[in-house]
Amino acid sequence: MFNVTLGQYYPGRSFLHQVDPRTKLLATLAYSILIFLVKEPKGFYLVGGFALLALVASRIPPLTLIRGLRPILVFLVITVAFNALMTPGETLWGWGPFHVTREGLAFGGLMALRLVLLVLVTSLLTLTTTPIALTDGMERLLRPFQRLGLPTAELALMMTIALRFVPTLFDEAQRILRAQQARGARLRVRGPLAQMQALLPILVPLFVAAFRRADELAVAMEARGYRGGRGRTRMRELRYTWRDGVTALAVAAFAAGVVYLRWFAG
Amino acid sequence: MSIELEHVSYIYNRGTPAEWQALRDVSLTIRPGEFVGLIGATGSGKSTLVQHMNGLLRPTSGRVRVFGMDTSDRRTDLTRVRQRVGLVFQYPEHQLFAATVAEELAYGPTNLGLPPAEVQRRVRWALRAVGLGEELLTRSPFSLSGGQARRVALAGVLAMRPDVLVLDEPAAGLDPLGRREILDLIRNLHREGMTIVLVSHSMEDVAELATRVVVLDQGRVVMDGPPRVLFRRHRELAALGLAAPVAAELVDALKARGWPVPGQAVTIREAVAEVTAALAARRQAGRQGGGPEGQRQGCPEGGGPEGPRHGCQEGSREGGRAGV
Repeated sequence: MFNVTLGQYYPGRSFLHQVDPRTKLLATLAYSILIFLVKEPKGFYLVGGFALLALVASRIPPLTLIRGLRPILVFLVITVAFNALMTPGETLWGWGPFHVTREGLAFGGLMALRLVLLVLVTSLLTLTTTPIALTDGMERLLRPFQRLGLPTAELALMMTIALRFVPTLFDEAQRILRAQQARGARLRVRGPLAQMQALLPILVPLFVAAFRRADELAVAMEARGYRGGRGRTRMRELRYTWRDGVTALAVAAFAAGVVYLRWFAG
Repeated sequence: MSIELEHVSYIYNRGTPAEWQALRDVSLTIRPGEFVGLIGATGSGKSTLVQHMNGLLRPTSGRVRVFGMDTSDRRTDLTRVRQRVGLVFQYPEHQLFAATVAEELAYGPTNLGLPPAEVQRRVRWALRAVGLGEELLTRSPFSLSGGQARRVALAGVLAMRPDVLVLDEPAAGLDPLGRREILDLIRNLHREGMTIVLVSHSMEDVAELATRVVVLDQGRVVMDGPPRVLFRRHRELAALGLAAPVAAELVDALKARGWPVPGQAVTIREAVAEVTAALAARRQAGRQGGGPEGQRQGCPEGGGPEGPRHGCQEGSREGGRAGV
């Protein structure tokens, strides 16, 4: 009844939607590193341009993307304010012990721009990739670490299951809440201790339900012959296509540009 | 009037792609002392409807009044609404949380702000009302058997002393004995004057307990009447994805095949009575026409005036057994 989608997958069949999750993960990782190598304004045209390109390739309405920035708004304001006040330099405006400097404002602004671009690009990753595909991609990327004893298949399965059950448990919580409300439960009470106590009638049954579901799931998996990740094949095999080639080239060109601007230009 | 719904519509997730109209213009009055059976296929809006009865959900349009209190009115104290209408959800034992049964049962009355002595009185009363002994009071609710846990959960709602008890599938997932016990319990509560609304997929249970049956389909009330009348409408029920009780289907099938049954039964006990009476009448008629032999001879040839041959054969075989 309550349709809760975890993450924020935006259904579609754009170029970016069809890029392999591994490529998208690696590209996002590369972008997050490169963006911190950029120091000067010219470089920001480059990182901004790349983000814009990705946005166009995803066909996500820009408004949806911008709405995703709301949670970090406070963080952005603090970043700018902190940098503006703490960086020594030419004072633009002063009030008592506080001085807003030109350098501080510039540095804070750049920092905020980095954060915005970073969040935009990582949102593009989660907007164009289903949680399941994302988990698949991570599993494949982590596979080399299996030799070091990292149980990648199990980790991926755990993540998939966790993602799968978030909406289910959300429903369950809703139902339990209603049931306790039917018994006169009051959730808004004064004081942290009283608040905790008021939540117990919801949390206890919720945990009990989670354990019950886990048990049932374990039995159901064993009944269908699950015996660990070794030698498991999968229904959806990940395959690279020409789109991954194009994406890789774009990222490589972008990286080259950033490195050139940082170490070789002027 | 206990609960009055006037032109109630309810829409989930309004304005989103997941928008879903669960109730459409439902008008329904639950009168004191009634035992209402609420039936309908999965997704017909039963659960949404019962949550309107104690103000857990408020209508998107229309009005719900519970003992005169309008649940959409901001000034209405919803705790009072919930005290008067107790709602027992499906699998209520999944809501148990306290360390002991006593604490569990005290939760509702405490939320009503009653003094501790009164809370204790109600805890003991509710436990007795569901037929459990006081030795359970100190036990953990998680250590109880399935049937016991369900009864404790039911007692948790009863402890609020509601005037109306609404139950959503109270017997689901219990073994036959557990079912029997819960249903007998509900029947007793009704006899003691409590108004009952029972949501059930079991037509047998509804036929046996309810004084009035309300049928929901796609968020609308499509039938409303006494079980004796309503359960005769097999075809309409089947079209709604429901079936009449087996007993009703049986006597109607027998009647259609020419058996001299009144065709009024909706419970197994009533069906047995009708069939035995018909058999006794037939035996009587057989004796008058030259003993039991005469009846059996009369049968295979053309079926006689009572109907087709098939029903007659079945009848004589059963008759023989019943006579022994």
